[in-house]
Amino acid sequence: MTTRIALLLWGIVASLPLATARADDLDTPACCSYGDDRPPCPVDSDEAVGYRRCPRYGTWGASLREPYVVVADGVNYRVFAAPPSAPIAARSTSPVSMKQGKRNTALTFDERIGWGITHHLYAAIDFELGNLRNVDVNDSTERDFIVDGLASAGVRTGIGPFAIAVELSGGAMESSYPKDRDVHVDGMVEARGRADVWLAPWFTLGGAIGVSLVERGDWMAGIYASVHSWAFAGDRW
Amino acid sequence: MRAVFPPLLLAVAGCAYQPGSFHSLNQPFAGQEATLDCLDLAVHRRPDLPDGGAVVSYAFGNRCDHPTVVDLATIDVFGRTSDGRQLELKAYDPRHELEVLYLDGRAVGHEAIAYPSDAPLGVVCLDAATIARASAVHWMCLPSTSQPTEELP
Repeated sequence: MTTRIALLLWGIVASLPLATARADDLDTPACCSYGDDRPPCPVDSDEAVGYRRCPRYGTWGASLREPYVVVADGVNYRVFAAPPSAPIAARSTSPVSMKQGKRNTALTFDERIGWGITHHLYAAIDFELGNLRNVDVNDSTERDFIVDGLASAGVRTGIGPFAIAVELSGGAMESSYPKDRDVHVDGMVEARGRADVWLAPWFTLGGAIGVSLVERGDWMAGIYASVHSWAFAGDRW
Repeated sequence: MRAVFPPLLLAVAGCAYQPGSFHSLNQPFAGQEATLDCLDLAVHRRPDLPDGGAVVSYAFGNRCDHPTVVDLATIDVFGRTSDGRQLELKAYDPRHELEVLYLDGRAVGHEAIAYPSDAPLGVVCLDAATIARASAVHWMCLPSTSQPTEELP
């Protein structure tokens, strides 16, 4: 549980840049640390450079001084391939027959923060929390809690009003089952494709699909809203 | 849901500067207007400093989807005194804050810069093209009143 709380807190902290990522909000930054040697403000020129304390000159260009950052919140739908149940004949000279359990799904909330590395290359971290719904306690395959963290690297480009990207993600998922007191930790490696549509220079709606590269048959799809610190993610230079 | 989405989209889209509009919810665009490459610029002269210097306010919006340069550090600014003398004016920048910066695509910004002068200035003229680093000169002249003039330095 400690791990879960830590990850949850991390997700909350990760969402804080949302407050500063908006370019329009940068017109009113925190006060600058000027000394008290500034001249008194003359009448009607209190906003002139050199006469004012805040905001510092050029706050309108501050967002481009910082690396490109994107914060996204969304929902993911995950499908897990049927976990193999216990072999019917555990020890046999004949081929082992695997009784297939039914596949199950999960709905997770996804908090994502990404950074630009180069013009088209980016990195991102995802934090997912989900499947908090009440599941059938008699269903031994349905996960009743999921939390995971993923690190991604990908390439992105803009095509008209869209931004498309492909990425490789890796991380770990912690989950539990109703009839199982143990917490399961599984590695995750996913190949994903993402597509966003620009609704405003700093705002997109998008979707993602991905397939697991370690668990055959596992896949995910998600939708999300993103706030970008650079207009059009800097793709339209 | 139908009632929530249109206002949300309007709010989000409203943050972006619309090319040629000289309007933003975040700031006024007062004074003379000019379009220089990607930059829509409005220049307004404020009341002079008590010692006679001029104060010019600049409001600008990026018409383009990509960042554009805004150079308020090296503007060519001249003032003309009541007795006809022409003075080259330098920005008051005691902390050396002025620098060339980039304005994000479809973003807006504003600044006010003081230009000290020993003598009262009747007209202040500036080459707005230097702000956007445009090729052709674009003089804008601002009288000490709020009425703009086309007089060149």
